[in-house]
Amino acid sequence: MKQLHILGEHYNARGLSPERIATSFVPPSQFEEVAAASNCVIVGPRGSGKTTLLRMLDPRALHAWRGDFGRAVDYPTYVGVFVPIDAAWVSALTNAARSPDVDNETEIYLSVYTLSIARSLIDVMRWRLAPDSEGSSFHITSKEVDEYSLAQKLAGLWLPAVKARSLLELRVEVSTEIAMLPRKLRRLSDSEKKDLAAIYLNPLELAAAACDLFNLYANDSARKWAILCDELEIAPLAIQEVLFGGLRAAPHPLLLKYALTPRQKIPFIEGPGEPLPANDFDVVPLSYPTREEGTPEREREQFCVALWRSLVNDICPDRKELLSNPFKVFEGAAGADSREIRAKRDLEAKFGDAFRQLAAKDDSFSNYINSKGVDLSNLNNSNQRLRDSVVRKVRPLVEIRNFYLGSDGSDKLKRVSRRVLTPYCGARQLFAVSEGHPRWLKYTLASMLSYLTSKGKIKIADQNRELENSLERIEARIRALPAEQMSTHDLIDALGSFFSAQVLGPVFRPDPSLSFIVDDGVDKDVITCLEQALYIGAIIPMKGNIYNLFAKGLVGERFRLSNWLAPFYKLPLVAGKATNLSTILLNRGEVVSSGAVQFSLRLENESFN
Amino acid sequence: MTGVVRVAVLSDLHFASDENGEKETHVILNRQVVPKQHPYEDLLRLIEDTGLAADVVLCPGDITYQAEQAALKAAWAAVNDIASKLGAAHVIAATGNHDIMSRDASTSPEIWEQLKQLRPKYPYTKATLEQQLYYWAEHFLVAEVNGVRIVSLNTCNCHARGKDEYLHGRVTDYTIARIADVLLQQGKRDFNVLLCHHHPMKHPDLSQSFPDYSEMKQGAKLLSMLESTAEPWVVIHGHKHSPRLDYAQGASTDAPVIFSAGSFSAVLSPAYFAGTSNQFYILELDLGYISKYGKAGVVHAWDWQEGQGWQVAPPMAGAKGRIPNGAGFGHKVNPSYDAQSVAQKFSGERKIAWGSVEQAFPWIRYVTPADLEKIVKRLKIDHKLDALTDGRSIHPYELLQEPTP
Repeated sequence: MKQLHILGEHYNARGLSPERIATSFVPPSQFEEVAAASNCVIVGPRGSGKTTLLRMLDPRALHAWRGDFGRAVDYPTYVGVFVPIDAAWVSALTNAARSPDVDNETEIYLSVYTLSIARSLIDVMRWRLAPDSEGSSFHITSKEVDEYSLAQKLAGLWLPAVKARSLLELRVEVSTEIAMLPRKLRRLSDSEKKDLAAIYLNPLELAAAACDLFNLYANDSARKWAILCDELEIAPLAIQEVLFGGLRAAPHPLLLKYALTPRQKIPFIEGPGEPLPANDFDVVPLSYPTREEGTPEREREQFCVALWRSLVNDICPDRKELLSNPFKVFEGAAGADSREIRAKRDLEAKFGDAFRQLAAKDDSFSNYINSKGVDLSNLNNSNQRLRDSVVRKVRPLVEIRNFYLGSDGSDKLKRVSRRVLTPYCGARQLFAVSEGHPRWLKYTLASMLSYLTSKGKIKIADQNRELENSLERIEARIRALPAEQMSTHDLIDALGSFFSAQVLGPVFRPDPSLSFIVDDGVDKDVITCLEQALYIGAIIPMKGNIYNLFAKGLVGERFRLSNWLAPFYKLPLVAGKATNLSTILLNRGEVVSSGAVQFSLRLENESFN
Repeated sequence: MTGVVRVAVLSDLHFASDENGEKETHVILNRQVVPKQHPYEDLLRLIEDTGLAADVVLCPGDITYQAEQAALKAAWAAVNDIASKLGAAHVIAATGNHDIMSRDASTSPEIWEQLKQLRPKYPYTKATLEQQLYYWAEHFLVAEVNGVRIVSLNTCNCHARGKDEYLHGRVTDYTIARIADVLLQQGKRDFNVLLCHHHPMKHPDLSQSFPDYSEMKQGAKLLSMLESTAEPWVVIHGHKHSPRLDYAQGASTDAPVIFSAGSFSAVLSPAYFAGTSNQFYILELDLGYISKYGKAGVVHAWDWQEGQGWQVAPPMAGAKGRIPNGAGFGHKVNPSYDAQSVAQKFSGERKIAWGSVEQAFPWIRYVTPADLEKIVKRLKIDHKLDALTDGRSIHPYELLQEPTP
């Protein structure tokens, strides 16, 4: 049997052509905001779809996707130009910059980035002049443009020593220059290096001039161009400074759209020149800050359903009718995942048994529910206020607590040794666990699809297996993060154990603490670990603080653990109260010694039932 | 006859039933189908996604591996399934050495019966009784699809007989004479295809330790006979798994084109097939053009690689082992004269789009990649025209006048 490579597909949009990206694009709710004709900064962890969103604004992708354009999103009229950060040249230049012969590091980075923008711009310009773009609003008839002269003028901006005779020739020259630059730098004298660097001091000004030239030659003067810069977190500081500085006043005719994973503070110039969110740019977070039911969850669920259908279409197109409704495909805990039951207001049918079972073994819960006046014999007997403020509120806690706690027959509540992750199975739960993260969804759901039964179902045991695999992957990623005094793994474990004890402790807490605030008492090592956790998506920023996060840092901000980790720590998929991180870490030893689990998948002693 | 005829070519499928064929083929019947790891399923998807179409599917043999009966049936069904998805009303095959017990007839005294029992009819799904009898008795049949004459030749006829016959193909004097007779009786056609498994002309040796020994005996004589008809011919064969586009040797410049089809789904060991991909082709024959100007065609080619699936075969940039998409054939060139014609036509222009060159000189689409390279070279040396390519096509994207010093 061959190794199963899911789809044999790229999981990173960077390696795909714009047209290929368009064929499987599923727009998340944030796409409209990203596509608007304004500057924006997209923020999200790795794999959250930032690159895909930016690349979909490339006119080649838009043209390929034109039939599917949603009515809610206006077709962008600006020309998107995607500029990747190439890890290879960052590394080559970093090595070159380390050489004793090279001392002007900033200029080197700016030179290459300027040329990278040039390369992407030329590609899009060529497409606009080629028959490939016919039928698109971006198309320019090549006969109407003096390409020879345009190429010479553009070469004058980017490569003054080159006499390019066409855009293609200029493109080849630019690529060659990018490849040769590290070697070239070693050969140049100091004054030659300064001359070279002087050309490239501001990549955005040059890009604006190039777009303006094209508009002039193409008689398309009102056209805006959006420079779409990806992976800015790995860009050298010099590039970050220029790009973020540009947000304050982007040179005409440019719009600026950036994507980054918040890993460290972004070097904004402080003071009156500092670009401000809402004024100079929009911040678009790709994570869903809350776990509660409501608009974000509905949007996430809609996206997950659309992505599921796209996946089915890719992997088993012949069964797409059968599998189109994921809520009928993924088996869940009895009744929990049926849309029909969800839609009904019948709380008794949905949760009555779980409430009664927990009350029978957990005195603290029984006391709480009695004190609130809820009629356990029939939850529907409660009035609307009780339904909302008690039953619905504690329902997720009850489900988890009832499943993972048992009575040993001596009225003592104890943790049931259960490895099975049933409370997280079923489409609705899986989508919540996914965080709407495209890469997690594609990998995990595609793996689950290989266990499809002949009746078009995916059994709980098979979902369970893949959820465990997903936990192994996230654990491996957390373990791989570099550590000094404290490891990110230890920090995550402390958080997970603390939250787990809140939910599965001896006393029922109706309002457990399930999120944390990074307070002033937290030291630098912990902040570093948090930055790493944020980078890989192990912690999620809560509402309203995304801008501060990458402009000002993490202190004062509220976070929760990613739902990816919820099945491991047996956490309900709700936000809960917040506790100061320093308090959580202070009680860390206590929590661990009180029997909470360590984040490790060595669960040999637990039974699978 | 006018109109375009599209000829799909699937060669050397080598389907196998189980993992015993793991080292031979990417299509193992009892293996789970995983996208981009299964050339057959991937091709069905490609056809659906891109709307590919053909008028006839040609299969130059070796659809299974070591005459495995279940795989033989499945492979023939797959070829017909692909034809149906392509909208091709005709499927014609030629027998390969792996389709029969080619080495030893002792365990299977009648080595042809498995093939005779295949449904739809083998080797031609629409064969008349006469055509079938011809194939099994005279070792060839002649069919006609939309004005294109197709001769399917069984070069494995002598296998399981004689010493070491299985090592190579063969066409006998008798069969060559019989084909010539039939061609003479039928008269001229706009275009002719000879379909067979073994190569009628030796391929270059891999090295002095690995000489090519398996060519069709009497292949040169067959080619000479085809050339003598003074009609346009292309010979499509399989067996070698090594795609090539050649002209047959001979004194005339009108020698048949030899289209050596790459394998559709065999595992290609890098030791023997460095740089080679699995390939699938659709040959486009514009009969309107051919009836006026003679032999001409364009190859649309796709490469399959494990993990990547089918992709349009990229330009070769000097590499051997694949036929690139857009490769032409049929039009013979005089590079110096042709380059001069192009330069004169566009004299004084600083930048010439290749599309304009094709418009002015339609024959340039039908020159082989090797000939195109020669014309481009002459344009550069003799006329100071630089050809720029954009990496997507074997043809230049544009010609640029060399700057004056």
